[in-house]
Amino acid sequence: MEGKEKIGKILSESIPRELLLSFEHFYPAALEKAILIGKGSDSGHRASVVGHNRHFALNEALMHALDECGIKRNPLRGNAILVGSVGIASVARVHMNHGKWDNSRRSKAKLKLCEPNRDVAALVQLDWLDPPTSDVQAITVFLVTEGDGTESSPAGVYLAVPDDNMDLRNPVFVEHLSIFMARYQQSQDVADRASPVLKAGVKRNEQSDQS
Amino acid sequence: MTRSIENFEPERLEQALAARGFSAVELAARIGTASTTISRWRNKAQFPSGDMLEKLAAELRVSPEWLTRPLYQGPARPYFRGSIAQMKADRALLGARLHWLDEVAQQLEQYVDYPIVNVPSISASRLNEITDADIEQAAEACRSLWGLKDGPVADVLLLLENAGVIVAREETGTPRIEGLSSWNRTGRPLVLLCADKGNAYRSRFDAAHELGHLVLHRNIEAPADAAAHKLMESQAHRFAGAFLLPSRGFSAEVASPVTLQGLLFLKKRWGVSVGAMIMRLVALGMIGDSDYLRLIKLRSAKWGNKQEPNDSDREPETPRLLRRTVDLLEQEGVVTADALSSLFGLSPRDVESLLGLPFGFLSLPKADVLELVLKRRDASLDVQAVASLEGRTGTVLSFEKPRGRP
Repeated sequence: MEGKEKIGKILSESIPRELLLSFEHFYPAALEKAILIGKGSDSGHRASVVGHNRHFALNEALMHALDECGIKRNPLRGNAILVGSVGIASVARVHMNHGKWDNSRRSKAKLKLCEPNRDVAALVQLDWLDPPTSDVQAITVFLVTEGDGTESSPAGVYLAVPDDNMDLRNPVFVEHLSIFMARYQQSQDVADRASPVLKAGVKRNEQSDQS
Repeated sequence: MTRSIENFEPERLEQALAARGFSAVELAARIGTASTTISRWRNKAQFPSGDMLEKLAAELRVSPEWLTRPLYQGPARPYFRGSIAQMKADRALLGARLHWLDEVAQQLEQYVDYPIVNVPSISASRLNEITDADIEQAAEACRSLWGLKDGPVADVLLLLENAGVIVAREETGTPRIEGLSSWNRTGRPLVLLCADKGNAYRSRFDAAHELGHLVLHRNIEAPADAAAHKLMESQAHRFAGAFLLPSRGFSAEVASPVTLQGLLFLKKRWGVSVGAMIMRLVALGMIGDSDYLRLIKLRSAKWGNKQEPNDSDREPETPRLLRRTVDLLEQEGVVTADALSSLFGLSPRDVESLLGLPFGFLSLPKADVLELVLKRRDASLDVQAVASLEGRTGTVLSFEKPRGRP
């Protein structure tokens, strides 16, 4: 199995599908709320107002989603990063503009949060001298909402696992939420039972043997 | 003058005429008699002579003896996938072939046991008793009974055959009707799918649609009026959508906003056409009228109405139960493949088609098998061949470079 597939499997085995469905349900309203607040602001600082409020609104959306699934989390407090812990996974969130993701390494707290991803990064970035450990003990994944803060271009959600340097430009795993959802339900192979059974008492036709 | 065949069965003649798409006038011309004679045979007012029976059988591609067999009580009136306004002759043709499928399967069942019938059915006896919620529930119950979770179905025909459904998929020359189904007199379901379009995605949906009829309409007779037929079709359609694209599993994978590109990705995974997925999204209330119109218009503008990208990247599913039955009977020495045509009284091509045997398996003459004998190579021949080249010289021809070209 490829490294990316291994990471996808670890994530889908750790994170309940319901958490992602809940977040998918809550985040559009959060973004809308931030945009709405921004509309009442002066155009000179509107983008900042929207961005600021988006942070709080999306944190609330993630908090609701985590609570709905009964997942342990830290308290919601100011600018602190909200992190849910489920299995070996830590789930946090971040917002990015369209295009190449950047600006992700500014937060010391996020860098710290990504430290356990060293093992998981090794599954993708193979090092011949230091082979990856077969047993990943911890993984940090970000729910990345991607949008430019306008109503005209709706935001998408991705699951992204950066390396231990929080390099979101080159994440070791990234997948759109709708594609990731497919990992929870693989195409089901159907057991083949479409076979007839000879009735008891049906005898061989001796003539056909002779032919 | 030959004696008339008094055990001639006019209903068999009717059936063969329908299956071949012949009119009485056409048949009369083919066998060199008057159409009134055919009418008298059909009404039992007269019986054909032995010679005429032979000619009839040859034109209808059945055995003369088949035309004298007592009529087999076929399945109930089938549910047709397609408009009720389709040509009457097309429906008669497919109805006759479904009847043959039933009869052939029953004859083979004398020797074998098929999988036990395990198809659920709801108790509604009137079409307007069935609500959308009933349909969703019925599809979910069917998936659950067959051990399916919320993911895509790998092989619809295999699921049907596992549940004891007799399935045939054949080219019928009636592309406007995609399939038909019915329950036979012993309580075994039958599905006949038309392979003329050769599209795996549509064929899977057709199979699920027929399953919808079997589950939802077992206690309801196939209607004769267009309005009831349309309602019945829409119910089977909704069932097919719910069976192939269960709300819990499918809706979670649909990205918002819904785009054709996103649906194309899901098409490959779920094995359902983009068109059918759009209809499912409407049924689930995931897109409104304006989104529906936008997607349908875009789909038509980009791809047309008849085809979609990636239509050919999946092979159509094929039935296997009857083919395996033939294999088993031949392997056990019960019936030989060559004897099947006379056993059923049908042409080899019909038997191949109904039983899912490869084309030519019965209908093409067997190739002669030549035994090859290994001969020791004569080494002196090699020496002669080399010797014959000795003393010859070759001529080298030079080619001039064409002018005006680099």
